[in-house]
Amino acid sequence: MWNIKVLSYVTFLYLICFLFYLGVLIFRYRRLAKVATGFTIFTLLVHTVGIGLRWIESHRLGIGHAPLSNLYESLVFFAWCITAIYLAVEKKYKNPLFGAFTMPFSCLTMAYASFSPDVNSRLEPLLPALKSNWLIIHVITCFLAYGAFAVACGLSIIYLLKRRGGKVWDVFPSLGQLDNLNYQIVTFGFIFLTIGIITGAVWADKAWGSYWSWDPKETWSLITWFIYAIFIHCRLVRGWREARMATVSIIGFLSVLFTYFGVSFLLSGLHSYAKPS
Amino acid sequence: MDILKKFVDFFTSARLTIFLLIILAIFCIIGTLIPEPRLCLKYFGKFGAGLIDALSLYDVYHTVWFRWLLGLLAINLTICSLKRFPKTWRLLHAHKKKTINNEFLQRLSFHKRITFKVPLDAVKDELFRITKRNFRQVEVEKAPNYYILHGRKGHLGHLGPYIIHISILIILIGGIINSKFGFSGIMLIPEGEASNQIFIRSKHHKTLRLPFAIRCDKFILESYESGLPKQYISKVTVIDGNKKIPKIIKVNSPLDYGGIRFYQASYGVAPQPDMVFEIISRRDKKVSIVKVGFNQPAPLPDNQGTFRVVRVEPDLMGVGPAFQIRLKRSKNTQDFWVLERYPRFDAIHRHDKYIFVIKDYTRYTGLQATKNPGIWVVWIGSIILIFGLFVSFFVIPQRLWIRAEPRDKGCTVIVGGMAYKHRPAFSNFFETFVKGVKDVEHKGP
Repeated sequence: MWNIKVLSYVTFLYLICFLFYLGVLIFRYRRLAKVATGFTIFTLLVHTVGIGLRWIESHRLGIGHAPLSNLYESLVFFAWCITAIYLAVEKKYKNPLFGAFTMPFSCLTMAYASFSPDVNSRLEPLLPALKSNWLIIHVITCFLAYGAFAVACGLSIIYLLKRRGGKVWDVFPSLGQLDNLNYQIVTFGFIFLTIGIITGAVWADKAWGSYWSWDPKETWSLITWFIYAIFIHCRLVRGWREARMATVSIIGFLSVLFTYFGVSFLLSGLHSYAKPS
Repeated sequence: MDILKKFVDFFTSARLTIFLLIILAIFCIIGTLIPEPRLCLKYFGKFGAGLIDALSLYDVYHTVWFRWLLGLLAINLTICSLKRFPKTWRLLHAHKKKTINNEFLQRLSFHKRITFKVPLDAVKDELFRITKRNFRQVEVEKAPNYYILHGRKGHLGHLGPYIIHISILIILIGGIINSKFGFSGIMLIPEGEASNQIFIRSKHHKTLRLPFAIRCDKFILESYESGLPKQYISKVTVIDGNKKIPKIIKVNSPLDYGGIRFYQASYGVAPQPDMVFEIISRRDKKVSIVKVGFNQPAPLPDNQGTFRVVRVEPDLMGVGPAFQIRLKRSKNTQDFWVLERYPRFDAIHRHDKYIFVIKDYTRYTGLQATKNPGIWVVWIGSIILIFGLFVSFFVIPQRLWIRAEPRDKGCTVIVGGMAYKHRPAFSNFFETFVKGVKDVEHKGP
């Protein structure tokens, strides 16, 4: 099982990425920032190779399926999304300083996937209900959304820390820019969450004959959708800005975490195959 | 009167939308956290459980007041949208009235003044071309002493929120159609038999008869080597009058017939199955295959007795399908169980001349039959919703004006622009555009 080995090394690579970005934050060397970005791109490539290997190996075992079917695989993909979205934001806003706040999310997610005894990393054949192309679209869109919400949460934490003052925070974009960035990433995530919920409904309709059955996972994704809908309305219609928005963004991400982990561990429902086994 | 006005204002405000969304979220949270009635009694006591039952919190989503909340949200959405629409309408048609003078342009958040050394006529066409390249709609206003270009694009963006809100109403309407005119139930069909009866899932156990029947020809359970299930397949025949149509129903590939969808939902031992047993002699390991109907006597291989299957349990105390056999020899009778999942169970637990192993039996297939007449309304609403989101967040209404006036031998040009959202992105665009305008002088006609 090469893929599992590669993916567990990726965890350490993310730790190194985080240390690089922390170094950038503390020492402010331009060159170090370039090294950090380069190293993160390299890590993302290795991560992609790991996922690809897993896909190939599953085909070799004769149970071929896209590596998006259980908790382990979804965690691995979640970390991939966070990093990819982070790199896109870094490139667009030319600021390598958020890294220190988003890389820990990637690293912890990978560490949890790789080293927790609760998470089964073995390649297993798919249950009949999971054999659907809608599943692949559903998982990809949901996790792009979750990744975006994670990055927005990181930005909101920076925002709230920066607001309290202190010289360390001067290097970050202004409060207004952080606020704007938070909003834009949330809207990106909101679109993908919507598509994720809809494709999930299409899949449920195909597999179970009911597009919406108020299963806990569905309900919690709807709750998350409500929270971000509130976020967007507060901003556009009520004119909320800054600290209050950052707080709502963090609450939204907590809801994402509960949808993802809380529901799988604490509540039972149709999505129970995502449970640790 | 003042209170009434305040009440109406609140009812039509975005504040109520946010309030309703919060309330809906809270009730959804309660709905997922309340455990089943048995556990509620344990955690909250008799009074608590009674209260939960009285508010029907076990199934929040289907209560009358949850529907009222959704209804309120729909009304609020409609009213808020209608209330805002005139403003949007004016934005969409704003370009018609304004006089574009220099003061107006200089008040815009993005503006730039450029002086050219060549006369106005020399750059006019190029200015038009560069504007046209960036804006789909360009209006030209000409006069002896000035030349005005007005470009606009992305005005669909103003309509984004309305598209989203309409789509949500469409999805809710689809949901109402489904719950009013649709149904969902289960059909249980043993292999070899036909049925047209659906057991409707509801509080009052209703059944529904279809105008056609479905016969289950064969149920197949495919497994991986590890024993995990791979696919459940029902080979069925639809019998509609004289027509007999063979079909296959699998998980994730339902059958559509007569406006109803049939899904592979479950399977199990048929109520009175035909069975195939392997009877192994302990002494010489000779194997005989015996076919037997339910509760029908069959001779043992040595012809010195009979056996019959007297009871079939689809799941005996969690160990899976079990078959109780009554074995009769001249004097004594013996009852024992044969388990499908543990083929060696009989060999270990009973000492007799013969070991019984169940090889095959008649199964039934459980099909879920669903009619959702509003499902396409839901999907159309969903597509519009996604479209509306993209329009709202990615189509940015932008406007740009260029006013050129001849001055001395050359001319002055003022470029002004505005965007209704995503100003940083527009700022970048504006800079590049102005650079392009400056280069116009060197290109010439």
